[in-house]
Amino acid sequence: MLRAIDLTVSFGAQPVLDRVSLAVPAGSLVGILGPNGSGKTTLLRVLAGTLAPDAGRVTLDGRDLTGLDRRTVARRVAVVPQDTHLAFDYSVLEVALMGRYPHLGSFEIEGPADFAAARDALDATGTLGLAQRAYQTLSGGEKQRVIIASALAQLDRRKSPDDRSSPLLLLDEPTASLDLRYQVEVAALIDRLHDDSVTAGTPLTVVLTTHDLHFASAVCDTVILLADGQVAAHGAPAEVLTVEALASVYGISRDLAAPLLSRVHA
Amino acid sequence: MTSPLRRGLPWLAGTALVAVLAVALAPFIGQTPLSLARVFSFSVPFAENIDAQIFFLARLPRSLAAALVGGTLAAAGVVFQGLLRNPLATPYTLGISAGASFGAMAAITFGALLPLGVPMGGVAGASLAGALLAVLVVYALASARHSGLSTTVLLLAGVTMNSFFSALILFVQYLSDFTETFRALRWLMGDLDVAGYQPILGALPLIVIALIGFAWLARPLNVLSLGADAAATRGVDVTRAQRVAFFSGSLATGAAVSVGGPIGFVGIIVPHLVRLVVGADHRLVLPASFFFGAAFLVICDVLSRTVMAPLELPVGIITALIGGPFFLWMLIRKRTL
Repeated sequence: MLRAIDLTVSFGAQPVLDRVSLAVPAGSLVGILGPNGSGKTTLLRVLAGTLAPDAGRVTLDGRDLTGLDRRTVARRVAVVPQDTHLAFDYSVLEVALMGRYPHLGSFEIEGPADFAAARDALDATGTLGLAQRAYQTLSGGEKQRVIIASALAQLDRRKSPDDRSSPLLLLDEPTASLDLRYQVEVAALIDRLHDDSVTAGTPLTVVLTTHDLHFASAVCDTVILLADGQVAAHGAPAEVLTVEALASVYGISRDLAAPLLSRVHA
Repeated sequence: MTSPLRRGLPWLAGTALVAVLAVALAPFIGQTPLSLARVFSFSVPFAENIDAQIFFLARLPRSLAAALVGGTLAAAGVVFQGLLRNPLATPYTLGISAGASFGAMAAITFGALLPLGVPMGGVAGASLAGALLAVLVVYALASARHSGLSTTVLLLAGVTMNSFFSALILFVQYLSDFTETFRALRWLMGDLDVAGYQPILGALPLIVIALIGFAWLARPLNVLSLGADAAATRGVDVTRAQRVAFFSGSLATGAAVSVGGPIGFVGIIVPHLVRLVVGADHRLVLPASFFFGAAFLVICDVLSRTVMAPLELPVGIITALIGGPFFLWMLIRKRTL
């Protein structure tokens, strides 16, 4: 269970998150929606532990995130950032292997288990065939999937098979910069990864931010609607994504909001 | 699936071999031809063996200095490129060489005012002090308003330091006489005429400490290419990695510059060529750049001693003549910067 309690973050005088509390049960699939500047990405960064909140705390199974060792957290929580740019020309396999960082000592070299983890992760995201390619030559959709593979390799438990805790995957707008086909593919991929993990007995917990109402309601079992750094609504997609909520949160008329939802709840 | 790391190992061994060969063979090339048999002939006493004297007292230290400086600058280049996530960064991007140059300049110009003149190693020491000054200012600026190091502020502070110290250098030059200006200018060109083992032994401990830092950095630098935030979520202690990279890179650069002056372009040409061959993994790029950088500067130094013989060009002119066009070529061919 991932829990956020009264998170407050300010950049300067402007509060970006204002006493945000939420609970993400193990194995759930949570979508965070909200207008630009509502604090989605900031919330995800705080949940990932890369940004310290000004007030409030994040707990993982009851333990404070800030008190945990960075590598311990990394074996449990993986993040797929929005920006998938890499500074140097690594191969796809090397990018997947970067996920093994928290499983290796300072001077340790990847062993067969790490290669198997990277291989399986690439396979799961349909990018195994690209393993020897240069990452920088891939398309946006392929890059996105390779970065997801790297995160999956990071969460791979084969070196600690006794750990039955639910791994967490945080994705920041995983479909934002993708064309229609890749949007559908990535959505299906996240859905499938979640289903497979439930079948395997270690259900994956997924938290993602998105602007895509259809994606959120199709994939997520819970939706959180953020507005001005506060939780405006929280619950099942059908309950949260209403004409009234969208009209008020996004500041649009009900006439405009209604058609947006016609496809979502079809 | 073969490990990309393992596939690079033969190349790494290759660069090491080239470096050793370059260091060993370079002393035999030069104005006075040396005979291998005479250099290692123990029947003649060393005091009377001119060949051995030239080999061991003049050319070998120079060859070793070139290797140490070249290797260190190339590896430091890799570290700064990784830290700034920019393949066009150099060891001098953050103003260290400008600080070192100012220190050396001040020692050359004002050292004459001291009662005993500039002490042995004084210019090298002053250049280290200048480098330290630049490093501390840049670090203070980049860490002032951040929990970690802001790479943007690092870059801007570095650029500012470079031009500020250049102004100070011009000012000191304005105050100096012709002899001092000439010596200062020669130092600025970058020169490996070390005259003995003393400068090498002075810089070696600092470089060894820096290289230990580099070895630890190889894996964190790989993950840092994803960006600071993403690296942190992979389990990298980003602040620590950035600090180690900044200080060990600066230490290496300061030490190398104190021996050979601000020799340019080694820190960018070598890592770039090495990456074309071994890929991007820092565990290969760092050591391969060290070895190839060593070989590269030894060869450049041989060129500088021979192309206009008996005139000896400062080696910095050779590296700049190769490096300038190379840098432009890199700018043009690079897909992403």
